[in-house]
Amino acid sequence: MARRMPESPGGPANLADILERVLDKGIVIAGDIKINLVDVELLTIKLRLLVASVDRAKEMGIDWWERDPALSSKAADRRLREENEQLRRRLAHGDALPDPALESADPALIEENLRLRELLAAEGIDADDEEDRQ
Amino acid sequence: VNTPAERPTASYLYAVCRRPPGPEPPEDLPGGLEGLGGPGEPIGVHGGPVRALADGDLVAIVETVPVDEFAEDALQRRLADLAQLEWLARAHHGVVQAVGARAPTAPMRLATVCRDDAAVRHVLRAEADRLNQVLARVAGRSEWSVKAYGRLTARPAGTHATATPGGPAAPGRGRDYLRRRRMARDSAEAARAALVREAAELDERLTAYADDVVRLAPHAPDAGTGDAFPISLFNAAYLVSDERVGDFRAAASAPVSDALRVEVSGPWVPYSFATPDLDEAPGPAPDDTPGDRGPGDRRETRP
Repeated sequence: MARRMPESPGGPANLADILERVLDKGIVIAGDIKINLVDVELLTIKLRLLVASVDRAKEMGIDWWERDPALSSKAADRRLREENEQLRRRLAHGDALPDPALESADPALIEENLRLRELLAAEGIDADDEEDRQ
Repeated sequence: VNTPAERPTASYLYAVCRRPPGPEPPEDLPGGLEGLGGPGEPIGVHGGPVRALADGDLVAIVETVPVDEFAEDALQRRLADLAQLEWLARAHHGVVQAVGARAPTAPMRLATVCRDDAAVRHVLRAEADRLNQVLARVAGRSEWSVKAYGRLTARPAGTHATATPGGPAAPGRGRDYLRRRRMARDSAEAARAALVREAAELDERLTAYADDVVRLAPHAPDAGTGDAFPISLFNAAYLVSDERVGDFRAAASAPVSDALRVEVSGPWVPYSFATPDLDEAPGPAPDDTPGDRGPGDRRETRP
């Protein structure tokens, strides 16, 4: 219904690009929007879109906060923390089960994991008997 | 759209430009409103035509909208619905972009609603200095969006944690695993560092052609390219003067390593550089609008 306006060379502008420009302070879906209702004085109200429409946002592919490396690596961190916890327990008890499929975890956690594995190895325990089984 | 006469209306504010020069400037855009809205060409957030309202040397682009659809609670509801948010955002952007094609433009945020035309003129007067500054800053310039995504390419041998399928545990594999993990970590870190460095160098080259730059939050990679380039490196808006746009675009589309993907879009109305924060605006002076607040068509005059 709207007339096509002069747009970016690559076609109609991407919704996320528009939203980060027309909403206050760049971002956007996961934050507050300020609306200015000018009635002599300016009244600012806040919207919490995240609660209302995060599922819809995902449907439309506006879910970058989920794929943000800083956010998604938390899952990997959690897994590694659990594994380190297991390894710590196994240092005490002497048998091991690894999980190497961790790419994006916090380097400090990986370092800790490696140290624990070295300690296990020094005890003569092979930490990764089943590591590569898919 | 038929609005019953008694249905209260408000003035939706899209953008502010400079008024055309002259001793008796028309209440219009420098390039005119031709083709912007008008009967049979609904483009606004309420589907209606847009109008120009002037005060002093500034002109605002507005649309009359019904209060019951654009008041606080109604907007809360509508903007929380992503389909409606998208519709409104695209309609708003459509008008702003069309205005920006005619004259240097200070775009307003989505859903900037004034009670009536008098309130719009009040904003023009109260914010005149700031608006004029912003308009001077973006005149002859446009905003360009550049995003960079990366991928980790070469995977050194041995970094895959796959081994003899189904094979029983062999002695020493824990140490092998340690070694592989270290190598994988080191090479992944090196590859990541190289990506970040290349993106930073690109940003630096682009910034050299720009008068200003604003870093925005990185987006998730688009579905089409997300698999191939899963790492968001940066998302920036550059304010580029018309004379340097050619050089800027050449720099933005220059070949990069195959680990990097660069997306360029523009020209944008300079949203990231010219959108004033009206909520920081001071309220009107007490003697500013004495007596009654007139109907929407009240003319404000300036010496």
